[in-house]
This record gives sequence, C-alpha cells and structure tokens, in this order.
Amino acid sequence: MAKGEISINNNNLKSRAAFLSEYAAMLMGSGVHSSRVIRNTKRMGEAMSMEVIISNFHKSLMLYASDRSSGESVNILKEIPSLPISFEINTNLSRLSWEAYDGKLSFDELKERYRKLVARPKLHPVVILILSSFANASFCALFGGTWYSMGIVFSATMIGMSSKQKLLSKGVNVFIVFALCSFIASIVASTAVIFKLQTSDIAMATSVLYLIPGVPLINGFMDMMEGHVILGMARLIDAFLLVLCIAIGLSGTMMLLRNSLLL
Amino acid sequence: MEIFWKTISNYNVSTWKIQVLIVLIAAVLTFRLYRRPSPFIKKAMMFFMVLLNLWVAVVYYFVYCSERPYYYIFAAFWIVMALIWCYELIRGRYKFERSYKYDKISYLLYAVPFIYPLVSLGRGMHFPMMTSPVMPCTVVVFSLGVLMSFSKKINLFLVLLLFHWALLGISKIYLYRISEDILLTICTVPAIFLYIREYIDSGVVVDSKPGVKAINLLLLGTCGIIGVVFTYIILKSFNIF
Amino acid sequence: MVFTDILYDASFAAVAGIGFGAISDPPIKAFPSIAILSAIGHAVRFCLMHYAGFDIASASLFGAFSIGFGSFIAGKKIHCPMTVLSIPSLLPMVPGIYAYKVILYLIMFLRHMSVGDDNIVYVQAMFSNFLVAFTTTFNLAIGATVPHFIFREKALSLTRVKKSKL
Repeated sequence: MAKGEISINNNNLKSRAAFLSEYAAMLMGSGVHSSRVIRNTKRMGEAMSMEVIISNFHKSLMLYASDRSSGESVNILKEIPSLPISFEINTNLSRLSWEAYDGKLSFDELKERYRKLVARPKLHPVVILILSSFANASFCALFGGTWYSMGIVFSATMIGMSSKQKLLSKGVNVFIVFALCSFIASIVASTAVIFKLQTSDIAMATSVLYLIPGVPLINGFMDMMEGHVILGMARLIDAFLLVLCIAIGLSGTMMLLRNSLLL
Repeated sequence: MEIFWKTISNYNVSTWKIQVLIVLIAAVLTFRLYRRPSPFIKKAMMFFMVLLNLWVAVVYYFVYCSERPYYYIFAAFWIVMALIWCYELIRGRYKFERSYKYDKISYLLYAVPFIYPLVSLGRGMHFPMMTSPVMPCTVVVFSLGVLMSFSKKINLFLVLLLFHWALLGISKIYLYRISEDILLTICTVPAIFLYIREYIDSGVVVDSKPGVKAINLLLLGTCGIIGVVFTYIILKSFNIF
Repeated sequence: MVFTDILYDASFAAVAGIGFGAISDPPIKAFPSIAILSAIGHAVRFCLMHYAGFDIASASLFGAFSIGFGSFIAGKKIHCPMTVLSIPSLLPMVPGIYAYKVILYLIMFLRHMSVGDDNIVYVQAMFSNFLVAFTTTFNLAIGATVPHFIFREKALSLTRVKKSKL
C-alpha cells in the first residue's frame, strides 16, 4: 500500500472521513502524543465542516464523523501503521491542519498537500549514523569519560547503529534488534575494559544509550497526564520492554567480562 | 607488555613458513584481480579473505595469544569479520568491481604490511620478537587496501569494524608504545572518509533530506575531528605535549 | 573556571541533543533550537547540582522545566510543536550511568547469591541506583510536560502560521 493513498476521489462524507482516519493514523504511527492527534484531526474535520470524535488505541483508532449540514454520520476503524518516528511529519501535518482550518485549501488540494508531505524524504541514514555517534560520545563526556573512552563509544555507536539500521530495514523483530544491537555496541565498547583504561565503565554504560526509546517514554507520560491513561500505559510498557531488551543485551556483555567488572 | 611480545615471538617462530605462504597467495591473488580478473579469481579472493580472518582469529588469538587476558573477545571480533566475508561470499553482491578512483592510495596500503617489520627492525628489534606481515593490524590494512580499490557495494559494517580495530591500535600505542600501529591509524582516517562517501554515492536515495553536499561536508568535518583526535592521542602518548 | 566548566557541559549536551534528535527525524530547521535547548537544560542541571547542592532528581526537574518553557518560545518562532523540540533536548539528561549500575549490581547479586553476607550490599546498591534512575526519568517527563498544561491552547497552536507570514 502506498503511503497516503486515497482511492475514492469524490467529495462525499465517506471519502473525507477516510482521509481523516488516514491522517490520524499517520500521526499516531509517527509518534505523536494522542491529545495532539485528536486536536489536529478535529481541527481538520472542522475545516471540512464535520464533527469528529476519535478513540485511540495502541494499534488502531476509531473515528466517528458526522456532517454538519446533512447530519449523516460514518464510523471508521483504522489500523495504525508502525512507522519510524518522524518529528518532521508531526510538524508538517500539524501545520497542514491549521492551513486547512484557516480556510485556504480545498479537499483535493489538501489531499495533494498531504501526499506530498508524507512522501518527503527522511534524514539520510549516514547522517543519523554520524550524528548519533557524536551524540553518544559527548554523552560519555558528560558522564566524565576521557577522550579515549569517547572514541571507543563513538566507534561502538557507529557499529551498533549501522547494524540497527540494517536489521530494521530487513524487517527483523524490533525487540530482537534492540537486544542484539545493545549487545554489539557494548561488546565493542568493552574493549576499553580489556585495556584497563580509566572510565571504561562509563564507556560501557553510554555505548548503549543511543537505543533509549525517548519518544515513547515521554509521550506515554504526557498521554497519561492528559487523561489517555490506557494508551499512555501501553506506550510506557512498549518503551519499558525496549529498555528491558537493551538491558538484556548489556548484561550479555557483562556476563562475558564479569571478572574485570568486579569493583 | 612482556606477554604481548612473548606471544608474538612464539607465533613468529612457529608459523613463519605459513606466513610466507599466505603473503605469496595474497600477492598472487591481488595481482590477478588487477590484471586478469575472472569470476573464479574473485571467488578465490573472497574465500582467501575468509580464511585470512579465520587465521587471525584461530591461529593467532586462540593458539598463540591465549596467555593474554580476554583474548577470546578479540578472537570473536575476527570471527565476526570472517563471517561477514563469508556472508558476502554466499550472497554474491560484493563483486570486487574496480572503481579506479583511489588506486594509488590502495597501492600505498598494500605496501604497509611490509613496512611494519621494517619499522620494527628500525626500532632495534630482532626476528622472532617483532611485527610480521601477517598479524591483525597488517591484515586490517591489507583489507582496507583491497576494499579501497574495489569499493563498489562494500559492506559498511565491515569498514566500521576495521575502523574500530584502528582505534584499538591507538590504545596499543598509548599503552605499549608500539609505534608500528601509527601506520594503521594514519591509513584509516582517509580510508573511512572515502568509504562512507562511496557508500553515500552508491545509495539509491534520490533526494535525501540534507542535500548531498551537506552530507559530504558533515562527513569531511567528522573525519577531520577524528584525525585531529588521533594525532592528539598519538602525540600525547609520546609525551610530546 | 566555573564558566568554562559550564560551557564544557553545555556544548557536549548540545551535540548530544542534536544527535539524539536526528534519530527521530526532526525538520532541519529545528536543529539549532534543539542544540540550544539541550545546552540550556543540561547547564541548568549542572549548575544546580554543583553550585546549589541539589540532588540529581530535583535538578533534572528544573532542567526539564527550562527545556519545556524554552521549547514553547522556540516553537513559536519556528512553528514547531513543543514535543519536537523538547524530547531530543531531554535525552542528554537521561541518567544512563545509574541504569547501567542497576544491571551491574543485579548481575553481581546473582553471582554472589550463595556466598554469604556479601549479597545484601549488592541488593542495596541496585535498589538505590534504581530509585535514582527512576525518579530522575520521571522528573524529566514531568518537567517537560508541565509547560503544556500552563500554556494550554497556546501550546497547541504553535504550528499555526499567520496569514501575514505566508
């Protein structure tokens, strides 16, 4: 299925509601917290003179839309695709909803704009690789690591991150990927321990932090505080499982090297 | 430190004949790859790389370096490299396609394994207790050379592992004052730059988010920083600062 | 040397923020704001911990607060949702070392379970590290979320581009 494809082209309620559900599912899939999804979609519906009520779950969302003029209504149950987190889609689609609300776009224009925004290129993998390696290395510095541990963490993150990208693009299960990549990164970083350098424990600890699922963690908290407790819990549990996988990978390395880690 | 050189001398004394053989095979295969490449030679070269990595893992680390602490992690590292080569051999995507752009650098890299023992001799060491052309660091440089000349569709993971080995080489300079490894680190920085650039160029990404120019600039900056840090550490380890 | 210490801390936090942001694919023009915000947040925490005697958890709360407010101001300027700017900026404050120590002491405890009285030390260390890691993460989330409730409607209309600007 092509992203953002809308097959029905006429301007009736059903196709508008289908577009809205597609829009909402796209936002949910790219890691937007639920109150923003609901606000954006309602605003979008408002622009198309519809009243919209949404109920989100972790894997699907339900959308009720009723036309203001005719009073017709329609229910749609939509599956949420599991997309990579994208703040750019978050920003652009939020902006699109305001543009629709401020009355500048017709329905066809809106669909066209949406399709273009969704198809925008993602950040190049090599850029992500380099930037996240620098990030992890400076993270190491923040914890008090020396220059040498920073270098080790840099290289460990590069190896771990590139294997993460490769494995995820191959469609391997995300939990397995996280456990494996945390194991790879920490075992590469463990070479600092082998050479008995100072701050080698910091190098080990920071080498896996590029995997921390920050977006679901904070989104989960925000959802819970805004009253979407169940969805918030689901997101937190999801994030927690990923953290657990990181811990499993890290402890795998520690088991191998346990003798040198004795304090 | 003492264990380090003792294991090396043991390794050299018992395997120097096989080392000569390996060097000869490598020379013949590399020469053929340049002059008259054929599918058979390419397969043979790939197979040779698998064996070479396994040689380092099993013979060098498991058999001769088992006195060193944590030798098994290094052995695992080399087994992983061998597995990646094996994967490429089976998958058949990497075909030793020559890219012609960086030939001169790779000729230079081929020379490095033979410079290693010369440096050792220059430092006043004698035969068994010195570096030889078939050791982990020289194998890394040789692999870099091969990948440099035939850089189409290379495996990024392999390159990054080689880079990490260079980083470990730095720690050896730092701890054991093994100045031979400076060669390795000097070779790695431009190599990693060229590889990743090749990797970006080879990608099917038509319009990437920051333009290609921005990515290349970022890459250049990164390699610059790595280079500066490497030089700093090397200079510092010889107490020049 | 106080100033250079803070600058050192802030600059590394900025690099970390950019990198962790890059993983979640933000818009290109959000990068400068993310860098500045993470530098500010981490510097606030650093100052509170080193010069005002705060513990890591409450210092993180204030650091996250400043990131939350900063993301509102910056978001208004570049028309970005607050979370786009605040989440990457929070990540450099994640207490990774404590989380690592939880796992380390857990493994140590499992290894020494039958060796006598030693094991209780590890349990204690594991729990105290776990508590620090958990409260710090919790406070980070709270601190970044509260500005959302303070600004309410305004926080939700940051991405609205006024007609005069189009």
